[in-house]
Amino acid sequence: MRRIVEIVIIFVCLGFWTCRRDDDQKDPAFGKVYKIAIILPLSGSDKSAWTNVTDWVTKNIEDAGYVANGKIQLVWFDLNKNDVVEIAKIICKDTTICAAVGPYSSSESFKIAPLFIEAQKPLILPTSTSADISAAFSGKKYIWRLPESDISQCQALLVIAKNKGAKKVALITGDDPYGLTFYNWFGFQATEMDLEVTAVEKYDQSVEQPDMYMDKILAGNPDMIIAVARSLNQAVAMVKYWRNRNSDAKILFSDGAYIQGFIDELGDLAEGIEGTAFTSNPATGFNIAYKEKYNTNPTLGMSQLYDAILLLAYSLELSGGKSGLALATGLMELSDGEQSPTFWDKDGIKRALERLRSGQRPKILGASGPLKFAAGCYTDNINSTYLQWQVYKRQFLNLNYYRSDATGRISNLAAAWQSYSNKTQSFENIIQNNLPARHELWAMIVATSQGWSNYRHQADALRIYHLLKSQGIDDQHIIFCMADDIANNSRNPNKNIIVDAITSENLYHDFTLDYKIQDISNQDLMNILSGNSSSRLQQVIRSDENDNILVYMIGHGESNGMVVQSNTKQYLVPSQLKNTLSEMYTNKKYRQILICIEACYSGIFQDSEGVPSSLIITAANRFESSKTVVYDPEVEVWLSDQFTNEWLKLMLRNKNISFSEMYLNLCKSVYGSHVCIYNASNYGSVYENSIEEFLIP
Amino acid sequence: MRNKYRIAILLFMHICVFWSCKKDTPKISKKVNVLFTTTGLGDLSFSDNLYKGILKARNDFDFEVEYAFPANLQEASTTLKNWIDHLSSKDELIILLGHEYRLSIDSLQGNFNNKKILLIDAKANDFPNLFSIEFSFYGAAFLAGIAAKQITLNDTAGIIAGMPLPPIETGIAGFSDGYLHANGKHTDVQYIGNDFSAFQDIDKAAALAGIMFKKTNLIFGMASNANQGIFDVLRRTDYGYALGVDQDQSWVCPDKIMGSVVKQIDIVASNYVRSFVNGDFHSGYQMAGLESNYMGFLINTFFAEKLQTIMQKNFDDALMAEKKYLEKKKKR
Repeated sequence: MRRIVEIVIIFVCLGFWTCRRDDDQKDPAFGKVYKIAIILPLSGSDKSAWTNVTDWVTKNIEDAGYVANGKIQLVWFDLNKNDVVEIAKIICKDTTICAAVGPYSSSESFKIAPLFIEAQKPLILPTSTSADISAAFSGKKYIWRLPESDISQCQALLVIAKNKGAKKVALITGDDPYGLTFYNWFGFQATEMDLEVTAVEKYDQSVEQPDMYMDKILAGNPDMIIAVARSLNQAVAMVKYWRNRNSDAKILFSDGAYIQGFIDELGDLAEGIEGTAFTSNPATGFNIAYKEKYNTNPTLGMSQLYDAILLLAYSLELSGGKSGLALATGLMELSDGEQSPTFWDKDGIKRALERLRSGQRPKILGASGPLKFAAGCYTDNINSTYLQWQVYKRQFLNLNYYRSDATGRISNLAAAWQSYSNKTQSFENIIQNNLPARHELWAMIVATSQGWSNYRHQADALRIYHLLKSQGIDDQHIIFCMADDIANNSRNPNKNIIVDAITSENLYHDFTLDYKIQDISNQDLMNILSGNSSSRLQQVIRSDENDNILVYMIGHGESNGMVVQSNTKQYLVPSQLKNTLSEMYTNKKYRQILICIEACYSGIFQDSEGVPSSLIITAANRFESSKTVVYDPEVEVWLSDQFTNEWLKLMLRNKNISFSEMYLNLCKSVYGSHVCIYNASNYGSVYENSIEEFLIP
Repeated sequence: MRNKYRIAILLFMHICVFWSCKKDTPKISKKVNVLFTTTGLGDLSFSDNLYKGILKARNDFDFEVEYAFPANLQEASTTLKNWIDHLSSKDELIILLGHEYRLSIDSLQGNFNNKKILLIDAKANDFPNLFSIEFSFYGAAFLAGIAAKQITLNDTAGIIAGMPLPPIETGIAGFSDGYLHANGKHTDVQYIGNDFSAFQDIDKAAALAGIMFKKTNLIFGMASNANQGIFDVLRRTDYGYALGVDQDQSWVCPDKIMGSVVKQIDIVASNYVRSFVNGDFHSGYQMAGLESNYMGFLINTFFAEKLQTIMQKNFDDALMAEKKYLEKKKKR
């Protein structure tokens, strides 16, 4: 009997154990723990707002079962108490943390992104909107962000302006990182939308008032002013000045004005003013559910924070709990999902995890909207939502929503920063010049800027120089001018090295520098070009009517001309160039001359048109900036400018390409600006003439 | 004694095992599938209200939810078929929102595979496990017509409606009768279009409102989201008043929208999900009017002082008028 009882007890215990084992499988406490760092301002009132969301999403994930046989654990890092770079270093070193979410601002994100790329840990940015982030880190696999850059907001503003019947638009903005995104993209997007740009004004909003700039804006009689204010004070000052002028122009603000203080400060003056603000997609129901749960409306970034953690949970499931490249690959797989979409709530997460385990790849609908990132290079979510607000009876009314998923604007395939021009020039009334056979080839290469932050200008100038030298042009025929303050700059960790953006090779070797930009003026440049030598300008172009001349200038441009950063800031203006070209033509100083200008607003050199046998190619039109490309996190500078980089790649592939073909190729490869060709009708055939005549002696 | 002790332990262990295993024994769980309109969430109207209703019900009861946001009717039809065909150990309710799903339901001829169906905003043929609910705008619109009379200057009130549909025509009749009941003289009706896109055509609604405000200082907007066009004109011109529809639209123009004729779909959803979870779901059809509390005229607080008493005084008249109207319609 005793034995029987003991056997029964053993069986009972076995039965009990069997039942418990099922529980073990469901309870993630018995599995692995996946740590995700949260880098946000977490002290004081900030904390509860964020923790509402993180508690909610982690609870929903837990209720849904488990993730890769484990559970998610959040590790908190308070931005109010610690330096963001120090936090990033700790996270990157900690092998138990597989990924991070945060930080709050674009500048903080920009600082720490390289650390995460190096450590191969995904960093998901819930609120950073600076355009630079995608341009610098896109395609690096480890940097992801849920809102699109303010390029999309700029586009939303222009869509609204156009919907309201505006034909002429102007921009007033700051020169801070926030304002610069609008500054850099406004002209391009307006051109794409067939809107006439009457003025683009930027100023230092930390010290200046908008009055003078608003005067310039209003002088152009725009139908709509797009106003970008970095602070409440600036927004208020803009409105007051605009109201005082009683202009017919309407005004449309970016999200910088979408704060209650805007209404409180302005009172009745704010009535009727409209603008945009970044928000979550109302089609997800997150705002409704949040209000139902917490009895208050969610604030900026909450749905994105929810989604950041959700994405990492799904990605961990796909990677089998592995971190590093496997986790980043999981994120990419999620973004590429094409099967019927998931939902972001508890049950939706459960079904999504089951589907992912069974090999399905659904589209992921997050709390902020569809979580679809730019094809191929990822980084930027391509589904942002902006609300159109209006001040009415001292409150913000939400009038409409604009989505960046093709319902409101642009492409649904790529992020906004990868927008290429759809507006191309046609070349008509081409004349056939009876030119003599070409004899010699001359070149003038000028980087007009100075300083470490302008690294790319001198690097690109050196690239052009070496290309010409490699084709056989000797130093006697090249006038080379730059500041030469990069290779041995105190901030350069690799002394005597300037890096080629494509090959990564050193460009700082075997060159003859004729002038330092610090030592010459804008007029000196024209004298050098036209061959007016002097005791101070001994190296000049000594060409004649049988010679071709290539002029390449790179630097900063403003709406009145190209900045020549000599000892004083000077401008090379279109009339100056035109006069020089006319004089050269009259004096038979060239057979054909090609002038390539890489600078913001370089399209103003359209005003230099009219001189026979000259062709002007610019990186941008007169209302837009040219764009940087290839960011090097080690030296913390951009290595090249977009137009030059693509132009060089094209010339290395095919030197025999006609100007018209070259132009069309550049239009397809240069994003964010309109490459322009001017004076084609006076030049000769852009269909027959090729770039080769300016490359090979 | 020792054996007794062992037996006691054994009994205890049995209880433990029973308890432990019982906890995992699956009970028949409840699942609610929700098929939204093709407009989806974010419409500030039916879909958002339905979603709120489901969330409310979920606060009180434990059930699983699956949402579907079809891009078009074909996708909706496929989703519905998948839900119906899916073999499940769960007790499932499928909620369909919108008049456009009536044909899909009728085409199933009652073959719901033991699933229960709630069709909101349309009348379906009678089948077991199917409940459909329609809304009569008449009574609530009747009250809106009385409210309109309190503000109109020339005894004329305007109506801008989406497209000619039975529920819309019922609302127009109710509003006109209410306006006349309050000694108004004339209502002017304009339709935005002839298909469902009219309910989204904000620009057309704005254009019509611009013209109509020359004849009257009040417009009853029966155009769902397109009402935004009417309200936009109100804000810009600083002239006139309006009445909204479907949900409380007064926030869009708080000093000029007197009130809204509302369909409380959130309450409908919450109540029927509650019945389903409690095992009380029954088949049938309901025409929900003012009496049901699913329809009502919601006064904007800005106008409460002006309208509250008048609305209370006329509520019974509105109920009576709606009853007569529906009976008359039934006979036809």
